[in-house]
Amino acid sequence: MAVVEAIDLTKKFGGKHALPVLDGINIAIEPGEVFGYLGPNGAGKTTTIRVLLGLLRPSSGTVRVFGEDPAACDSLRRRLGVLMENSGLDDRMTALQSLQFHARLYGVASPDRRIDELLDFVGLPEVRDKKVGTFSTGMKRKLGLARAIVHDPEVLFLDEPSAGLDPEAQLMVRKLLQELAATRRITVFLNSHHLDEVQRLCSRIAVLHRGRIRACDTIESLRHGGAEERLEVRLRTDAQALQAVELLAAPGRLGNVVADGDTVIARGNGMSTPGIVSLLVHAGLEIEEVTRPIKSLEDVYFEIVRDEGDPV
Amino acid sequence: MSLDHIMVIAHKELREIVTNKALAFSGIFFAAWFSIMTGLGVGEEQVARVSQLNNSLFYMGALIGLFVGYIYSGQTYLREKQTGIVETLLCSPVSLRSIWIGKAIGVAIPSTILSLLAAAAITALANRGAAQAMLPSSTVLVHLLLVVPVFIITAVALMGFAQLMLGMRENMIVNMAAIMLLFAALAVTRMVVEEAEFVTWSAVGGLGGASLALLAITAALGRFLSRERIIRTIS
Repeated sequence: MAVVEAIDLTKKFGGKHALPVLDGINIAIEPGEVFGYLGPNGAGKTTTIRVLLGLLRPSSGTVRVFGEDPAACDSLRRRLGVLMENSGLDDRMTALQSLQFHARLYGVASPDRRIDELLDFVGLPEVRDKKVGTFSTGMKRKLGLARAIVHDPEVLFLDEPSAGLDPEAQLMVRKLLQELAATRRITVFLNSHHLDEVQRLCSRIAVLHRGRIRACDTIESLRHGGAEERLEVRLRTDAQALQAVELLAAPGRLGNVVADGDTVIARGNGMSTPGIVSLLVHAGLEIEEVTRPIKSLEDVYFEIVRDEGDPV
Repeated sequence: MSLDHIMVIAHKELREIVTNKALAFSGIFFAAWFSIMTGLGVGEEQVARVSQLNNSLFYMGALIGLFVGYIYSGQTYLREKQTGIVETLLCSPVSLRSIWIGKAIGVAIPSTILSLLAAAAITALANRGAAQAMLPSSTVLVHLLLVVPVFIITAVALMGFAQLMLGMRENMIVNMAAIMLLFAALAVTRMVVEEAEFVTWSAVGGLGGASLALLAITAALGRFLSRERIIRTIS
């Protein structure tokens, strides 16, 4: 059963005729999954998290977390951890007071031991009695992460955990999240526009653009462009490339073959790579290079968001 | 609604007010300023002094508590909303009413204490150079110890409700209006206290009844609190 589920989720702000911020979102996140939610600024990522947490009600559609409506069940939130973009910490409290306060709110048994463990985990034991207001953004984010997991949640919602951090702090936060996902088997919903972060952490991603999910799959599947495979063979001359196209496009071979200068681009699974190479070599063609290009996540992302004709 | 949650939140707010020197001082400063001005304003003539003292305590006890509560509630509700801290709180398993009431209690306790200390200061100052010690009447004491705390917690809860539910611009307008009303109330009070004693049991009972009715209305308003409304008015 999906831990977090949205079915045809639509959210509008304003009247009936307002444009939807979220439009027909469908998500199902399985237990233990690290799910990345990618999208440019203003795509609706934070709104999605807020609806999934029950802070906003859907205009239409259904949201279920552990099979329950998060907007109608306060106790459900005991099973959820949340780190919003601003870390949600009070600058006037010390790190220890902040964690103690949240541990009490969530009814954590033996909070002192748990807090010591967490401060060690996020590498902040020496600043436990310092006011949060004196912390750097990176330290605040780490403390925010400790706060979000103080009650050992089953699902963790993270909204741009690396936003505003320098590369070193980003790496630290990413390592913490990797450790968390690996050792605690926690389900993670990660909102981000850091492609590198998502690629390293997530098993599956959805790309949101203008309130709609444009792609949702494993990173590998998205990078391979779904079922369609692509092979590029560079030959010595343009003429040889045209000859190769004639050979490969013959009936019973590949249906989708085109020449681009001296390169032949073949799509589809009609023939294996060794079969194609063997055919061309036996025809006397001189092969310079054979590549099976895989798109980077960045390529996939920009293909999706640029399809909309937007500058990104 | 959970009493544990209410107490955890009230304790946090109380500690923040007490340990935040600038915030605690601003409340103490206004309480001290108003009590000194009021205490020194009590006249010379013995009979008039008694009635002036009782009248002053009747009004100023509530107004000083209200003013201090206004200062502290801005930090408790509005600041947390502006900085986004309240969103994290809304993601916790605590009900919205518990958050609201917990914060109101955390603000009302120091406001009530400062209001009572201000009443003591007004009494002490009114007694300066007096041959015979003046004490507040029993009606005024009942008013200060029972009615004023109910009035303050109701007022703080109402202010908190408005601050949570209104947008930042609306909050700014309401805050300005509240300040002007408070100062107008203080000015009117100074004129009224000059008149003959009117702090009767029926006046105290009337204000007590009104405070309780307002408390009931405020409690009923709680059903209009919504996470969605708070989130949508954060920025």
